[in-house]
Amino acid sequence: MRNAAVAELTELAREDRRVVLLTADLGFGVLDNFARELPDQFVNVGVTEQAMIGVATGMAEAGLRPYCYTIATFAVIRPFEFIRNGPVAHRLPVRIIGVGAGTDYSYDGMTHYALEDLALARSQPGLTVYSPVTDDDTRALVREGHGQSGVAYFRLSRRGSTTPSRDVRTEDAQDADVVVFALGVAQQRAHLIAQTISDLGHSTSVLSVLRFDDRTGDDLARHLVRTRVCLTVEDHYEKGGLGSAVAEVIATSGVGVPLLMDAVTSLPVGALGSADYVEAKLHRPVEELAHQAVSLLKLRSPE
Amino acid sequence: MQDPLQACSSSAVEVCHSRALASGGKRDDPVLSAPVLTAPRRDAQVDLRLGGVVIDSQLLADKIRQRILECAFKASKGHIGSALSIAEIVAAIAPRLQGLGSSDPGRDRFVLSKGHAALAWYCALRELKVIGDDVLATYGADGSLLGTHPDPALVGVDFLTGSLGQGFSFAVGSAMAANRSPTPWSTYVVLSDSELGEGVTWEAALLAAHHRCAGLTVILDLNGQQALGFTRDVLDTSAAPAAFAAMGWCVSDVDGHDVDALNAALSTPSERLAGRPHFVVARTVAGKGVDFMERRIEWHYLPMTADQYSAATAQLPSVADA
Repeated sequence: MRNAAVAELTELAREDRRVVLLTADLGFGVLDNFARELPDQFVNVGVTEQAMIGVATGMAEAGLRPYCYTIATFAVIRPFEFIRNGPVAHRLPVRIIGVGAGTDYSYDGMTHYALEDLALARSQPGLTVYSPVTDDDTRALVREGHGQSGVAYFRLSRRGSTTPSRDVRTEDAQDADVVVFALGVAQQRAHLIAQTISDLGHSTSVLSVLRFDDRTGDDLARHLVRTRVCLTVEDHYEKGGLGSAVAEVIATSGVGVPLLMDAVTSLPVGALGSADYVEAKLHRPVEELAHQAVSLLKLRSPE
Repeated sequence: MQDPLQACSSSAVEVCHSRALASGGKRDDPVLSAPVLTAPRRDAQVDLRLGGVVIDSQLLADKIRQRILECAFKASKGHIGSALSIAEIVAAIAPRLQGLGSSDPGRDRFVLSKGHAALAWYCALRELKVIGDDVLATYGADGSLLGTHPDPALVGVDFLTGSLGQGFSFAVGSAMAANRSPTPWSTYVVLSDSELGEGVTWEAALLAAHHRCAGLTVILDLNGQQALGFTRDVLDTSAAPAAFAAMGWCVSDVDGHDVDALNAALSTPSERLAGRPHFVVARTVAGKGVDFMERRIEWHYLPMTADQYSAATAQLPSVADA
């Protein structure tokens, strides 16, 4: 996914000489081709994540189109106030590419997890969060974001999903017992839960939220009115993430749909391991979530 | 090492708005349409010319200082000591800024990293006729664009500041962009000594030196005070000038209330900078010009009473109306 993002950005940078790729000394093996081909449009600022956002602000004010690349938590959480007072406050086209959404860097531990980046980023007026699922999504969204005037945060995993996403914005709404909204590559777990719900005899629809902007609430509401139970699946803390975003829509739109959230609620310290291990440690089992969804269905319309 | 002041004082350095003047001056350029301060000082070492007229930097500073007191009193606002501290500094910088008040992408940039002294900058903008009396009079009022900290919604303000240290990093980005431009501009920053405590200050300082931001000038308002005490007692930052020099900055050290010394430092020839960003240590006094405010911690926050305002203005040199 990160390779897809940088490949697309390289094409954009060839077309648009205002593009400058800043990295806070990360991207080993990922940014090499860009740096070699477009050295005048590449700056390794060193391990200066706060200044990187500040520098990007000054560059964007001068007419450049800076992209700031680093691990997601260092890209958004550490310099968050710089994002707020810099590109957001000045309405400048600074783009942030954060790699390692959720617990993607599973072996690296909590310092390398991004579990509240969406909560922070989606709080900001004029900032669009892009959360692609596949490499194809990534390339399309990087190009889409470049064409926008506002601030953008690309929430990436190292590797994209191989299962195509169904975009909550473009897919037609359809009747389903359970609609499942997924964030990024958590789509894979969403499909597993949805399959189990299907096996229990209920229809499902799995959709991905690829963009968090001022239209996302309408996107979600369009699908929520056609379902009986909603399940959100994300590699993010429960508070402030995708589930919270859906809860806001349910509460304010009057759509009376019960919501089941699969998100991280415990502190991710201590024992760690592979991505599968950490996922199993921090999330309830697929079968348990599927049965909870079915219980909600029955509660809502007892037979 | 050569003294930058001596390097400049041997010949008068003219700083003028050459680009605008070459085109005859744009009518909509508020700087060039300003009735600038005349009466040049005979002992001035550096002539600052604006629209062909020599500026009296000390007179400009005196007017700024008087306006600071007037606006702060009328609005019943504090941060007076911080603003008085930089009256000479902003008087030396503001007339140098090519395109000040325009949105020309090639204009010089100014970043008041110590955003809490915004009133001093507003008064400088008023003196240069970038904003009018009507705008300045809104300071502290509902609906005003003149907050206690500057916002780029106001003409003449390039960046939002107030969160200490951030402005410096914005300025480094601007200077790095200028380095990539065929028509590079200059970027000026006013930094408070308390901002030396912010980690990002050191990130920004390393970046500016590494990327040879010769168009970047940081004036350190070294008044030795911060919100709750004297800097040497709170967090000693006295190693900063040596550290900046060691990082590869050209460092000058001047009396921050001596406009001639400031102008000489700000006119340091590029041969001396030799590709380095410039760190001008300006030794200042918080509350400068009002004896009961000078070096007093409480004047970081306090507004003036009517009696204090009368006493304060009585101490300032009289200035003729512009």
